[in-house]
Amino acid sequence: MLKKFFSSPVVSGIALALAVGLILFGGINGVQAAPRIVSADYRAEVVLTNIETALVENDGIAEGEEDLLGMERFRKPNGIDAEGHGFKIGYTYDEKLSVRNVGTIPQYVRVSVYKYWQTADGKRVDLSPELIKLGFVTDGGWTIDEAASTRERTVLYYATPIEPGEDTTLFMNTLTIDPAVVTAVAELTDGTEGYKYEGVDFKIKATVDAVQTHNANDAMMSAWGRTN
Amino acid sequence: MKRSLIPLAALGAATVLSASIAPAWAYFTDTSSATGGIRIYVEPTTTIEETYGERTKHVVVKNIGNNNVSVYARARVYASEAVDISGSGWSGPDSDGWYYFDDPVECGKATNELTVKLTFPEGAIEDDPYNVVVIYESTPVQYHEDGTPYADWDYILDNGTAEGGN
Repeated sequence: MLKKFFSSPVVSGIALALAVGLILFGGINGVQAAPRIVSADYRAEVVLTNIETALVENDGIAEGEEDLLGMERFRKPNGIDAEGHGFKIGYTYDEKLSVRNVGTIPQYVRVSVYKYWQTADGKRVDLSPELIKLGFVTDGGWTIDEAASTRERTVLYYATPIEPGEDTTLFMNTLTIDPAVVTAVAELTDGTEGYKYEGVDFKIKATVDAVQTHNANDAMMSAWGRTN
Repeated sequence: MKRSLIPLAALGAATVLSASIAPAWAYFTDTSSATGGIRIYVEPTTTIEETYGERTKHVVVKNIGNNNVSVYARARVYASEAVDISGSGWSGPDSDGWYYFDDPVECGKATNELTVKLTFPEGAIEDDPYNVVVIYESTPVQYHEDGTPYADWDYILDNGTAEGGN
């Protein structure tokens, strides 16, 4: 008799309707019930680490083209105008360069300092970079990589990691243009003699490379091809 | 495809795909760079000017450059008669025979006057011939490392002559 009852089309139809009703209204109930089982607030912070390094010139950050030896940090304090008038040949200027960790993780750094002569027509490889005398400092943790250095480029490594917000010691502190530029005379194309360095710009470029201190040796090998 | 080849194919696909993941494993690095330069001027431009009157020659050396190169100047006198040479700021003659102006001469400025006074022999008359030659040389000011200026007279970069007489 039970079997006959359940096999009745009417009963099956009622059962289907009940099932659909349960699904629909049961779902709504669940949604309505959700706010009542919300737990207490939990907060989580995600700190993104980044590595960022900066060149420091006379206590200010220098970055980009024509920012080194600029007006505010170098020229004005030394009485040199925008065109270079007032620059004293032979005088030893203070030019203090170091590196600052402006990121959020410790870093190892190296710097490459280039010096050369240039006119509007481009780099003057016929003029001597040795006459641009830079005073490198190697008694405060910096070491010159002689093998990687040339007459135009000097590469230095800083032995210890720099913590975020900290500066290295100075890797350079003076700049002098050798008086020999005053006496360098060459024959010009018209047969007369002229001054080889007259109206020529001396240029300095400093590049800082930083790597993470975690797995430092592997990181240095990957980025620099050598360890510190 | 045979069922036994499926794992092999999956391994190959994973290898190819994972090649592009490599940069995500790279180390943290950063680079910062700054460049700068200053134009230098070394060429001096000087000239000598003289006036004559009352048996005295008045000479100044002028720095007529416009490139901010200061110079040192020196002068030497050759005369057919005895002369008395003097001038404020001038010293000499040194053992080399030159009179030196002690201070650097900036662009647009001149040395103090160097006066060359002729002493005629007794009995000389106004029309007697005489000749006085003043030559000068200049060299750009150079600086010691402490900023003290100096002249390097081994390098003469500008010179000239002023002649006069009856």
